[in-house]
Amino acid sequence: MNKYIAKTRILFLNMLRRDRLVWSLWIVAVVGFIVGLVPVFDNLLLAGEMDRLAMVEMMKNPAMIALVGPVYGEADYTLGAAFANYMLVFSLLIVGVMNVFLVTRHTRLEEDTGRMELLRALPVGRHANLMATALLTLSVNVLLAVILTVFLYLFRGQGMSMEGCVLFGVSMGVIGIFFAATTAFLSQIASNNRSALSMSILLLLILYVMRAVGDVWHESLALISPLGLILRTKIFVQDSWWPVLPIVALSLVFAGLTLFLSDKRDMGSGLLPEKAGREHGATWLSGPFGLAFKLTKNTIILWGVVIFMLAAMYGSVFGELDAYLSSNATIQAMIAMDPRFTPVEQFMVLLMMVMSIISTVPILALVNRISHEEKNGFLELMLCQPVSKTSMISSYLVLTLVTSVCYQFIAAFGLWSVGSMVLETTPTLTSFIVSAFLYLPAIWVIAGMLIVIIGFLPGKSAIIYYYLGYAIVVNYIGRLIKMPEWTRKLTSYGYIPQYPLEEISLSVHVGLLALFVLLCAVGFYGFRKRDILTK
Amino acid sequence: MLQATNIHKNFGKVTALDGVDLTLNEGEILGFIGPNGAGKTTMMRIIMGVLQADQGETKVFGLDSWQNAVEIHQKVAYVPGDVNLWPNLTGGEVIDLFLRLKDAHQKNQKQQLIEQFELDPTKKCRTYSKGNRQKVALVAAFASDADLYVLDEPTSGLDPLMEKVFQAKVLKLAEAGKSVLLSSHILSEVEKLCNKVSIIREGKIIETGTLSEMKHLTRMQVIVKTQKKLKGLHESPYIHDYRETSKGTSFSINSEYIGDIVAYLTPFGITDLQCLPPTLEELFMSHYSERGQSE
Ligand SMILES: Nc1ncnc2c1ncn2[C@@H]1O[C@H](COP(=O)(O)OP(=O)(O)OP(=O)(O)O)[C@@H](O)[C@H]1O
Ligand SMILES: [Mg+2]
Repeated sequence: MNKYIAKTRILFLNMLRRDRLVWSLWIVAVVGFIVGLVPVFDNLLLAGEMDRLAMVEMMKNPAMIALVGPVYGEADYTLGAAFANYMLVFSLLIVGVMNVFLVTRHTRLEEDTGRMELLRALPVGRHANLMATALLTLSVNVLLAVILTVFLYLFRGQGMSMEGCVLFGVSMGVIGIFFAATTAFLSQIASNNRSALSMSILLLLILYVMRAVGDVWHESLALISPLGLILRTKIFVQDSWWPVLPIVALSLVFAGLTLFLSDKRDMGSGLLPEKAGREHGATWLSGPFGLAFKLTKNTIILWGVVIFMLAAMYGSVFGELDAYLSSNATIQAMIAMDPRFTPVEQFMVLLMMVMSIISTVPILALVNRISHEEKNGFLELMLCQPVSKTSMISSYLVLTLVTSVCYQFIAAFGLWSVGSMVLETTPTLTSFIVSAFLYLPAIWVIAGMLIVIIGFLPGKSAIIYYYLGYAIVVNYIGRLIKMPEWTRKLTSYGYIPQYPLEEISLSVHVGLLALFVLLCAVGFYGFRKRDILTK
Repeated sequence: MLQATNIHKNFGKVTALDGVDLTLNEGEILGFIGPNGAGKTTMMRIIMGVLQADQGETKVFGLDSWQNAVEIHQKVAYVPGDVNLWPNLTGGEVIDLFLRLKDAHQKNQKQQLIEQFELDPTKKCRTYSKGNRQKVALVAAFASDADLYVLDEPTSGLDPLMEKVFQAKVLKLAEAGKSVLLSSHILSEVEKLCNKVSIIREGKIIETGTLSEMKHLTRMQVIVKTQKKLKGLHESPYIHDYRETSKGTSFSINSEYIGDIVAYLTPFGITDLQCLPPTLEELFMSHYSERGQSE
């Protein structure tokens, strides 16, 4: 036994200390985000700002079900029921991402950087690092569950029972542990940290899409996905505990498989073998742009597929959406439908915004790739060739612009192609494309902000993800809970007209484009003037 | 070729370079040596225009190294000290990329170098050993038709056979009239390759010159046996490290006084006399440690 887990305790304590800022910030952010929205929902429902029935009807709409899951307790739609309905899936996704990062950070990243080798040379058990990582994630998830439960209960609103609060916390913890286990498992298979990370995130998305499709059509599909299964706890409505057990069991299976595989493979390599590559570079691999493309090609394609899948999923609910809305005159009245537009057109606005925000994530990652290159010393290699800094950063910028156009097209095409299969009156491809492309300047402005950060605050580019997080909250949740307009105007998305419901405004777009150009110019200037990071 | 004057560079509070002067002429191989953290890599990065000096001027081919980096790099080849390559590109792809960036694609020369260095260009850089990554950078550098080669500890991961290949390449460059700036901790290599040496310590150049000049300036070790007992030697201010050993009397003395001392010793009846010129090793030991203490 000792040869496997010796010194796990020391490693664990060391991780806990080394990461104290990382995990404590995650916990504060997650708990703050969730609990902070309770009073907001409370206001919304109790102050009668939004009719309870209207809210139920809105949530029962297939597009919303695909987004956040099925409605429970509609007969008595308490604050608790509404809150769990709207917030649980989101919170689960966040806790999933948290665990993916925590685990890869201590497994594959440690191996890739060679720190693991140093560790293994010490009298430390073969699985000690893995065990310590398991302990770390276990403790962080348990801590998160406990703190979340306590704070939810302290700030509880109508219909939020003690048991429900506990179950909310436990669900979060359990899903967290599940994704920690699957990430550890995928880390054994992947050949390096990057691919471990992207495989894990991809799994998260696949399980989310499975849940969405399952919730709209075949419940069995939703039950297979832990993200769907856990919603069956019907928190604050029935408080069923049974879904927790299979997820815990599944996590244990993955943990066991991880140990097994970790025993089988060599440190620093995955189970997927490394193939021999090309002896000569392809002719297009001859400049900064070719290099940027070569390095990011796979990620770009992967995200393209993800965006298409999500768009197709949303498109596939158009049929249900139309049937649902046109059959029900009261709802039409309640959600103040504009008779000039079809229901699908009215939901297209929401879906386009969601899709645009989602596709901003890989776009920012693409711009940020230059920081990654800088941190790893690859930028230095290029700059010691006859290559200027400007040409390096503008290669990534051009690649980003082209990719963002492609992604918006894919989103529009995905919505339209699947949508028109299920519903004849789906709007034309052109109107989808117009609506998607209208978001491009908004996406570019955020990319421009990232370029300014890269130009002046090397190594701090993660700041932009906080801003994106803010943009998601105010634009997505903010619209529902009627946060004041100015909160949205702090983000570029807040200026984009809701085509086709609103007119296209040329001045807004010209303004955003001008801002983008300005941001790029400022960022480029800073980048050119400053020293690059060296090891 | 290369002319750096009064270069200063701080990283926050850390002073990495404190007034460095460096000159490299055509056909010269300049050894750049000094203890860890002395500022060698930093200086090379400034020469390559990767870092900007806080003060001072670096001219390569008469152009400013920061302002005109792109132009300069057409004719400069650099091998970094810590060769980090893109993990998912193959060695062959990296070499081709670098050569194309320089518009210097000489297929035959590249192929020949790959064979000489026994490199497998089809492997992903992630799977290369340290020495093999170094070889990728060396092949790319030697295959490009540069006029100045900046090499930062280029042999730190190479096996002795490859080191030989490397040394032969460098000597050939010098024959062809190219200039090389070579930093290294392997003094025997510096001794073999370089015709000039600059020693840097704590961001300052403390010695520059040809090797023979430098050796001349330092002390020789003398071991002597005489028939009569030696007297008065240890009182002389020119004599250092005076010791009686089983092999005889041992001391060190500045090389310029060697004639005087032989004259002084002769009356005692020399039976055995050894004068050991300082090895490069000793030369540097004295610079690396003693001077540091006195300053
Ligand atoms: N990016 C940086 N940030 C802060 N300090 C730095 C940075 N780069 C170098 N230094 C510091 O500058 C000094 C000189 O470092 P440099 O790498 O030039 O030394 P070196 O002579 O190449 O050493 P070695 O022989 O170990 O390679 C060191 O004190 C180092 O810690
Ligand atoms: Mg160095």
